[in-house]
Amino acid sequence: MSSILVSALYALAALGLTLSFKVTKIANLAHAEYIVIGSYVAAYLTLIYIDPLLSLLVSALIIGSIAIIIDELFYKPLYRRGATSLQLFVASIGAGLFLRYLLSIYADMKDLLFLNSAYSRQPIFYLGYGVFTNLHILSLSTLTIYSFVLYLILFRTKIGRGIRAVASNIELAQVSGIPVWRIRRLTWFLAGAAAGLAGGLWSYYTSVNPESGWRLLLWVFASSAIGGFTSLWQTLLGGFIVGFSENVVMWGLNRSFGIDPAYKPLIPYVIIVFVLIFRRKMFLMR
Amino acid sequence: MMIDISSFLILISSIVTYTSIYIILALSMNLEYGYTGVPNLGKVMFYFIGGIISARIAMMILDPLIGIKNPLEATAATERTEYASTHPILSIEIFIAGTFLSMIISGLFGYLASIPALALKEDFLALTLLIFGEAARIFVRTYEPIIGGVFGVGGIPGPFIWISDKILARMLYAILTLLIAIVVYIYIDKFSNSPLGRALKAVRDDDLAASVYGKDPSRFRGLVLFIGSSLAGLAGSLYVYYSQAIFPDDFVPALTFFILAMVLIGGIANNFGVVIGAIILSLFERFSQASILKIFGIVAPFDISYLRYMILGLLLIIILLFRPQGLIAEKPVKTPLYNIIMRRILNRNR
Repeated sequence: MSSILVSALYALAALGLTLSFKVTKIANLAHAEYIVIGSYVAAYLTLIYIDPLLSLLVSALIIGSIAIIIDELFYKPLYRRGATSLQLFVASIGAGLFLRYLLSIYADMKDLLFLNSAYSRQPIFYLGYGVFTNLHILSLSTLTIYSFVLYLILFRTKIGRGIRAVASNIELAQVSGIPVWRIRRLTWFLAGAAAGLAGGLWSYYTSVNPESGWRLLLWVFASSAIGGFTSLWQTLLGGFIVGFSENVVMWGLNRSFGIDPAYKPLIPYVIIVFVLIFRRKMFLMR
Repeated sequence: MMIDISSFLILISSIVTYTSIYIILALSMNLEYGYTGVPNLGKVMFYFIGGIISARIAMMILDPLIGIKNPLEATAATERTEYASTHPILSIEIFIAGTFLSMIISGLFGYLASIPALALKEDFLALTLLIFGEAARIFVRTYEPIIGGVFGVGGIPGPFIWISDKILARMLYAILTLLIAIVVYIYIDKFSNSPLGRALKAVRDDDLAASVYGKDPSRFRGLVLFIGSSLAGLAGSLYVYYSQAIFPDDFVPALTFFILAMVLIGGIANNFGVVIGAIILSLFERFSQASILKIFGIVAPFDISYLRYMILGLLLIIILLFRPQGLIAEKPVKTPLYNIIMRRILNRNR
C-alpha cells in the first residue's frame, strides 16, 4: 500500500523535473534540493500548528519562488551566454550542493537534522497487510489536482501554448513574439511547486534530513527517464512503475532469490540503465 | 599557540600526500573532460576501484602467509600490519603490485565506460556516469565480501610501514606520492602536446570534422577513458596505502565535484592551470577540516564540512558564470610546423 503513496510522490516530483527539462533543457540536479527544502518547510510549518494542507501550499509557493530565484541567479545568465548543456548540468550540481549544505548548516544550528512533521496519519481502511490512510488520499488528490492544473495550463491557455512552443523551439518562439523569459519563470515556478508539494507530502510520510534528497533524486530521475525526460504522461506512469518496483519487486526478489532489501537503492540505477538501452534514441548524441 | 614540530611535520606530509593525489585525479579529469570532452563524473568510481584492488591485493598476498581465516575482522587487520612491518621487501612489493594492478583494472573499467560514451549526449553521459559511480559505492557498501561492507577493511600496509619512525615513514610516503604526481604531470603534458593529444582536441571540438580527417572519435574516447581511469585507479591505490584502510563512504560523488571544480578553476585543457587549481582546492579542503581548524583555534557552531561543500557548490557556479575558461585560459598549441608557418607569413609581410 505504501507503494501507491511513494508512487504518487515520485510521479509528482518527476513531473516537475520533466517539465523543467522539457522547457529549459537543464537536467536539473538541484531538483532534489527543492524537494528536501519543500519537505523542511512543510514539516516545520506543521510543527508550529499550521494546517497540513495550508503548509503544503505554502511550501509549494516558497519552492516555486526558490526555483525562480535559482534560475534568475545562476541558470539564466549562463544560458544567455550560450553555455552548453553540460555546463548547465554542472551549474545545477553546484546549485544543488549550495542549497543542500545551506539547509544543512541551518538545520545543524537549529538542531533539526532529523525532522518529523506533526502530521498524524489516520487509517481509513485495511486491505490485507496494507493500510489506506488519509495521507494516501491527500497525496493522490494532490497529484491529480496538480496534473489537472498542469494540463489546463498547458493545453487550454495561451501561455500554455507558449510553454509548449518554447519547449519545442526556443528561437522560433522568441521570433514569434512569445515572452520567452516570462514563460521560463512560469515553468520554473510550476516545476518548483511540484517539488515543494512532493517534498511536503514526503515529510508527512517519513522523517527527513538534508541528505535524503540525493536518495530521492535517483527514484525521481528514474521516473523521468521512463518518460524520456520529455513526455509528461509517460513520466506520470513512470512514477508509478518506479514506486511499485521499489517495494513490490524488491519484495519478490527477496522472497524468491533471498536478495537483501539493502540493495533497494540499486533498483533506480537498473531502471535508468534499461531505459538508456531501450530508448536510446531519446538521448542520442546528434 | 605552539604547534610542536612532529605534528607540524605530520600536517605537512598529509597535505603533500593529499595534494599529490588530487593533482593526479585532476590531471586525469582534465585529460578526459578538458581535452577530449568526455565528462567523466564517475571519476570517483575508478578511484574507488583502484582502492578496492589495492586493498584486495594486500589481503591476497598477506592472508595466506599469516594464515588468516577471516580477513575482514579487526584482529586480522592488526595481524597484517604487524606482519608487514617486519617484512620490508614484501610491503614494497605489495605496493608495487597493488598500484600496477589497480591501474590496469581501473583502466579496463574505464574502457567499458566508453561504450555508453559513444551514444549519449554530453549531459546524459555525465548523469549516467555519476549514477554508475554512486551505484558502485552502494553495491560495495552492501555486498560485504568485497571490502567488508560499511565498515571497510583496515590493516592495509603502506610501502614504508617497516620504518619504525612513523613521521619519517609519512614523510617518505608524501615524497613518493609527490614524485608520482610529477611523473604523471610530465606524462600528461607530453601526451596532450603530442599529435595524438591534438587529435583529442579535434574530437572534442568537432568530432564529425575529426572523423573526416581519419580520426575515429570512438577509439579516442575509449583510449582516453582507459588512460584517465587508470590514473584515477593509481590515485585510489595511493590513497588506500596512505590511509591504510578503505571505507566505501570515503568515495562519495562530492569528491568528483571537487575534482571537477579543480579542473574548471585551473582552466580546461591546461595542465599547469589544473595543477594550480588542484593545489588551491586541496589546500582549501585540508584546511577546512574541523580537526585542522581546531589547531588554529576556530570552532564553528555547525559541522564545518557543510560549509565546505556549500562553498564548493557556489564556486562551481561562480567559475562557470564569470570565468568559464578558468584562471589560465587554453592557448593554441605551438607546434614546430606552426612556428615555421608563422615565420614565413611574417617574412612575407616584411
